[in-house]
Amino acid sequence: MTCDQVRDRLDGFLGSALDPAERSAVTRHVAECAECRADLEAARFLADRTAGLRRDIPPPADLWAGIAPRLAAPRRRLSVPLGWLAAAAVLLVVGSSAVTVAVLRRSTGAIDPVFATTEARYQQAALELDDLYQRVRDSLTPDTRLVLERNLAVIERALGEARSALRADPANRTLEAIVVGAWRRKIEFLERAASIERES
Amino acid sequence: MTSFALPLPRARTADSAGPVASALDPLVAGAARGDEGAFERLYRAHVGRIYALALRLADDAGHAEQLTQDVFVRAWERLGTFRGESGFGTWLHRLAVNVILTDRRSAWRRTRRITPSGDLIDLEPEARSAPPGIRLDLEQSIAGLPPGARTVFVLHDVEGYEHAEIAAMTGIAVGTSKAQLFRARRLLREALDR
Repeated sequence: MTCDQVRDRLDGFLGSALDPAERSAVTRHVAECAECRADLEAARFLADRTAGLRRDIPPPADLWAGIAPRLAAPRRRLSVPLGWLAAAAVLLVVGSSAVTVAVLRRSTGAIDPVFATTEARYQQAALELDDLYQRVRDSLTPDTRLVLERNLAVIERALGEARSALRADPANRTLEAIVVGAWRRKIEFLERAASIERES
Repeated sequence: MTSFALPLPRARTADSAGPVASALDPLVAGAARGDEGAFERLYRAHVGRIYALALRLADDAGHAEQLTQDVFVRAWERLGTFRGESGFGTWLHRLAVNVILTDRRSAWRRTRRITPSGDLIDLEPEARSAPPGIRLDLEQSIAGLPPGARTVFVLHDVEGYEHAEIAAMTGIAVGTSKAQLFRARRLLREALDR
């Protein structure tokens, strides 16, 4: 039996799913092959531990507040994306205004529902603009893609850090404003990236 | 020789009611007709399982929360295509895997050098660091795996998908999936044995 054949049978070997002849062949092989023996020992070591992992982990916060506002969008995305950039721009203005209101009226406590709603809309807009960018991506030169995507990665890293900080300190209005700013930069950047094809 | 029980194929045992019952599930049917209240109840019934998956595959808890939200929005958008051939939980779980892996591909395209390779396992960002010299529990050790090995380990050993399914979902070869699994198991054993 080869190493590949033995590896294909290791889970069955541990689970007693092999017939006696295969079991004997695996046993003989692992007695002489250090690599396969290490794989068998690792699988055995982890089997019970992995089975004990939690399969259901409640999120630390109720995520529904960030989902519900996004359900209002049409279920089927329009196949013609021409109106998307204008729609996203309108959303950006509306969203910014709503967040401004939320930031101004909040003082303490958990993440404001208005803020959560608006952030959900930013998420949805970014998701759909990213889809749009993916459609034009192949028409761009590798150098252009590299520049765009490296810059976007920087924006996303900043956004991720700001969101993490806000989760740790949900009453911090400065962090909230930083998150909003990062979302706006991401939306604006994606708008520009997705419109490159039409500009060229 | 002692026998050890391997994890059950959990992705397919999530819906004990089976396809027929799920197809008749009034919550699923209501949500498919656009009833947001019904969909919220589905969300509350399934969010823990989706978040657990996202938490193990994502880079951090905040990203896992965002991905969980994206999964449910996608599910809402695509409920009209759910025909009940599988249980709703199974359908949702597969959708979640796709959403999470698609997000990872997009992110990796942005952060790594652009190559024509479609094999996401080849595009390995750095593993999440684990404190040196500290005995780790299994969850921490999984989090410290390189992303490709972590993805295959979570999908195979934790969630119960077969290598052929993982290959189809991730775009890697079956042999690569197997190699990543053995790599992950060895790394985990080393980490847990420290």
